[in-house]
Amino acid sequence: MLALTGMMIYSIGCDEDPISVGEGILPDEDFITIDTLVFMAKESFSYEIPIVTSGSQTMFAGETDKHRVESIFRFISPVTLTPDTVRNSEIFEATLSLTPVYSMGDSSETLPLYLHEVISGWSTTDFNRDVFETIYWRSKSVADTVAMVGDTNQTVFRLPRELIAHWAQQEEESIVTPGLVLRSDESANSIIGFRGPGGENGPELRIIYGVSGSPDTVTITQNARAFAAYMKDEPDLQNNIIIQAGVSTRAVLKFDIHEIPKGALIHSAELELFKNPEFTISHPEIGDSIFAHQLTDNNKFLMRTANRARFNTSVIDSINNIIRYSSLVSEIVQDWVTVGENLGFIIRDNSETLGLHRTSFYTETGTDEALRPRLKIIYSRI
Amino acid sequence: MRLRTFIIIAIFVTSSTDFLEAKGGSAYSRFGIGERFHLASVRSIGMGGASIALRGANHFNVANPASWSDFPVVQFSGSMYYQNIRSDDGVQSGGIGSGNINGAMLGLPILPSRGVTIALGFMPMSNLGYNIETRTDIPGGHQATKYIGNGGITNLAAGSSLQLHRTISIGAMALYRVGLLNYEWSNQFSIPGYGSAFTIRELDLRGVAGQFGVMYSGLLSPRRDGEYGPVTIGVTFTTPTRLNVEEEYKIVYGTGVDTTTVRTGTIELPYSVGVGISLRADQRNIFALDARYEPWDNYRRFGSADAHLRNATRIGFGWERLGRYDEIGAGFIERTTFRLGFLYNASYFNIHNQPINETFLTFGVGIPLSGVAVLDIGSQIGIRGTTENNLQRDTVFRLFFSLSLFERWFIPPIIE
Repeated sequence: MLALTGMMIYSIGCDEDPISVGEGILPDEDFITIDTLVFMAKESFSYEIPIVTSGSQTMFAGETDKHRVESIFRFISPVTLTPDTVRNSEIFEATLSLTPVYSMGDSSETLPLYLHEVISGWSTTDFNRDVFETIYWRSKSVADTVAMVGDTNQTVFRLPRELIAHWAQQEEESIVTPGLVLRSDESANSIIGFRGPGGENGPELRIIYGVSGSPDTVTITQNARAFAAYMKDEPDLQNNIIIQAGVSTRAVLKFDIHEIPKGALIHSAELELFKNPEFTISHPEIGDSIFAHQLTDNNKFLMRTANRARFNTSVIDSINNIIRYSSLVSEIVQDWVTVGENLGFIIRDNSETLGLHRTSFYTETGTDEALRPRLKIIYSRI
Repeated sequence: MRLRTFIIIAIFVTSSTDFLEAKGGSAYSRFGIGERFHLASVRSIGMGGASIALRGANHFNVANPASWSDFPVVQFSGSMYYQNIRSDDGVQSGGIGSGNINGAMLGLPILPSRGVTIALGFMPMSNLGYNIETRTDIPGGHQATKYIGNGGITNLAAGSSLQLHRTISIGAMALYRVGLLNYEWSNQFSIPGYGSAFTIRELDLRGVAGQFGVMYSGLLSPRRDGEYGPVTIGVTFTTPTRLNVEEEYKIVYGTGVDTTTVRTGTIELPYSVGVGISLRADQRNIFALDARYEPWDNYRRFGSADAHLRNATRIGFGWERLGRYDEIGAGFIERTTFRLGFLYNASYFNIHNQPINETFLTFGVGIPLSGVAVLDIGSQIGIRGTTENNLQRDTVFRLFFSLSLFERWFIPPIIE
């Protein structure tokens, strides 16, 4: 009876709703004051980083006045390149079909494309531009064609039958076929990207074989691929913020926020950048996908991915084409003032393997102060 | 058998509730170790808290372990409370109601002829409890700031009494003091893009203390053989306590948790000394007067004194009119015990250089149940603090219940 009475009184009488009385007697150390500070960037620069391109969704080939790009690929096991039936038969024809999904340069221009036989082995693990430099391929192409920039029809190469027979022989000897390099030449003024494997319209190797008068066809679609891209115009990376896909380049941005006390609560930290059209190369089919990462190693340019923040864009001045990029980097800044070290941000394009577009931003030394990078922090002191 | 059943139920109930953390309270509990509890028994609650010199075989008095020498049989006592505190700062007011288990004790008289009783149990020492929220309109939305405190310190007790002489009893109790003090601050925004965040400071405290008591009833001769003298003097002393503390300070933001600092240290609690005197005016009327002193100037938290604390003094006075338990044919009112008291507490809080004092009127009843149990109800109604100097005045109402059960154990078998 006592327990029941107690529980009744407790459940009826107890009230856990907060009250507004009492703040006046709390000690000063309990009070949370909210401040806002705006910091201008202390330092910025860009750097090239040979990104891993193996497994990219697109294979690129071509040249412009600003870029050069080549791709490498091969058709791989466990899909049998040349089944026994093909290996022991006569090969009548072999064609390689590529579907364009990307272009840079004037549409309706033509782009000569070449396939070269690779004669050294290569691995798809962590393949980047530096690895591509170590690969040997025959200088004389095994196939060539001309593609129309902007055309969505398939580009078809006719491969020599001897090459297929050579691959079949290698496969019988359990040798991984090295594949082909896809490239253009120095006369080119455009770049085409072709869809990678997976889904419809990926690369197709079609082999017609068999007995004369009764041919069969086998189509092989699986392949390993990668690309290597280079900048030709050599912009001043040290004094500009340049985010380049494909090549690629990233930027480091540093702020001195020592005025924010250690242990402060960061309610909002907004990083603002303004696009600089001077070095920007847009690609309308690839939207903005720029992120700010927390830099964790100054020497190796290591970065954290878990707390990265995406930039959103807004047009500040459509006449003068001023576009503002802003990103909420509250988690990164909170880490700086809590347990981490403030080494700055890495700004990078998340679509680094999807194209060769470039975004440039005004730096902390820009003539127009209103367009310089800034970090606005709203925080509480405890 | 009934007592053992009740003990099992009580253990089940207390283990299934967070009884080590008291709930609710006043913003004054933000300071020190929270609001100090001085619960001797629900009987003494009704008597202004006077307990140091209060004897009685039917009530478990944890204020003075020497009083356990009066137990003739096994006694179990458990209590719970409800309180409602209405706070007023001169501009606005608000109230919080809360309740919890208030302790339990088991006394085993292993040698009643010499007053040797072993006692085990727990009782609260302090309560930290406040829940404050303020809301401010800002461009684009509003901001809510919250200040929450909860926790407290509980004494786990084990002790014994001994009757040195017909008029002198002594007692000692070991106290294991354990507790958690949590302080939370948070800012929450209704504006998109503004991250809400809060901090938590948690203190885990553990330490030991000793409490000693003596009762002397030989000032005047007893009126009857076998009774104590009508005047009893009691003295208690509780040793200073060094609590080992582990403090963890966390910042929580978004969905992540970061523990930023952990430090260990000590909190030094001062000693406590009390004196009391009781007078049994006749067979039914008892008066008691208590005074306690705790030098909170000696308090140290991680080596630093706290300017918000001061030495505390507590004076209680009470009167009890005993019911006629043993009278056959007595009605309910005749069998019921009534109590009345007054309590003045110069608390250990000193906020904005203003001492915080409290005064209470107390009432209580004791209702015998079937000869082997007593239900005690005690209440306190009082005022604490002031609205001057940006402080607040609390109007406090507390209601206590305790049930005491008695049973004879260890009955030797009859050998034919």
